[in-house]
Amino acid sequence: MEAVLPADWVAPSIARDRVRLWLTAHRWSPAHRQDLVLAISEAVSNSVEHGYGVCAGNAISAALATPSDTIELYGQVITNRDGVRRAEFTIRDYGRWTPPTVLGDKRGHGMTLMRACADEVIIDHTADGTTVVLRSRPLPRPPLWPV
Amino acid sequence: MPVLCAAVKPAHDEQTPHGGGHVGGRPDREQLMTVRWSDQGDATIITVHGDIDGLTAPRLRMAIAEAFDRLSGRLLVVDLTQVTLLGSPGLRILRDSAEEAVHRRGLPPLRLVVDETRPAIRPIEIVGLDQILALYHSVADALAGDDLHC
Repeated sequence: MEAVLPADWVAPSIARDRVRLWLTAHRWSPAHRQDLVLAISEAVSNSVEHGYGVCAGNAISAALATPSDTIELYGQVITNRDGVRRAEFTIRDYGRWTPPTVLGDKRGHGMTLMRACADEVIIDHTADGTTVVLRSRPLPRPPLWPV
Repeated sequence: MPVLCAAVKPAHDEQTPHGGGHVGGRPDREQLMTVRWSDQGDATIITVHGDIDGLTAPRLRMAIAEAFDRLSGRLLVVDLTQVTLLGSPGLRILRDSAEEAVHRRGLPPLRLVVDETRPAIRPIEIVGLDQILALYHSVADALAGDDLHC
C-alpha cells in the first residue's frame, strides 16, 4: 500500500481510511486494526504538526505549508515461515521537526498512543525530514474462510 | 492574499508516489465529526459522533467553550459513545476543558460518557486520563453522578 498525502489536517483522516481498507482486505482482526489505524493517524498528525508546523485548526499556519509539502505512507505485510504476519508501515515527511515543547504542548499524547498501539515504533529525524516505522503485533495466518 | 483552508484543498493534491492517477475520491471531511446539543432537565448534553482528530478537535473545543458560557448553573455532559476515533488532539481538548471547568470557571467537573466504547476509552486509558477525568457509563449515570471510579 502506498499513498502521498498533503501536509494539512485532512491527511490523517485520508491515511486512516486507506489503512482501514487495506488491513480489512488483509483480514486483520478488528481490535488490532483499530490500534494500527490510531497509531498511523498519530504519526501522520505528527508530520503535519511537528514536521510542517501546521497547528490544528489554524488557517494561518496552514498557509505556511506549500503544495509540495507531502507525507508518504507505505504499508506491507511481512509473513514468516510459520504464517505469522506483521504489518509494517512507514510514514515519511520532508519537514523540519519542531519539538512539541516549542509549540507549547509539553504533554502531547501522540507518542504514548503510537507506542501503545504498535509493537515497535522507530523514529528517525534527519535534516531532510522524519521517518517513522510502525510494526504491528504478530497475528496468526488468516482463516481460510471469509470472516 | 489567498486564504488557504486546510479542509478544502483540491483533490489533485493526492497523487500516487509514481504520479500515476489519484488516490481516490476525498470524502466530505466536515462529516468526519458532528456535534449535537440537547438539554435534559438541569443538564446540557453534547453528543459527539465520528472521529476527533486535529481537523475536527478545534470544533469540539469551541462547542464545549460555548456550552460553558451558556451553562448558568446547569451540568455539562459530553457523550463520547458514538466516537469512532479519539486522537491526541481530542485527548488534549478533553483534558484542557476538564481543567478549565474546575480551575478557571469554578464549574463542577466536566462529565464524560464513554460506555465500553473502545475507540474512546482505550486512548483515554493509554495516556492515563482516566485518572483525572470524570467518566460515566451512560448519560443517565452521568446525570445521576454515578461515575466509574465509585
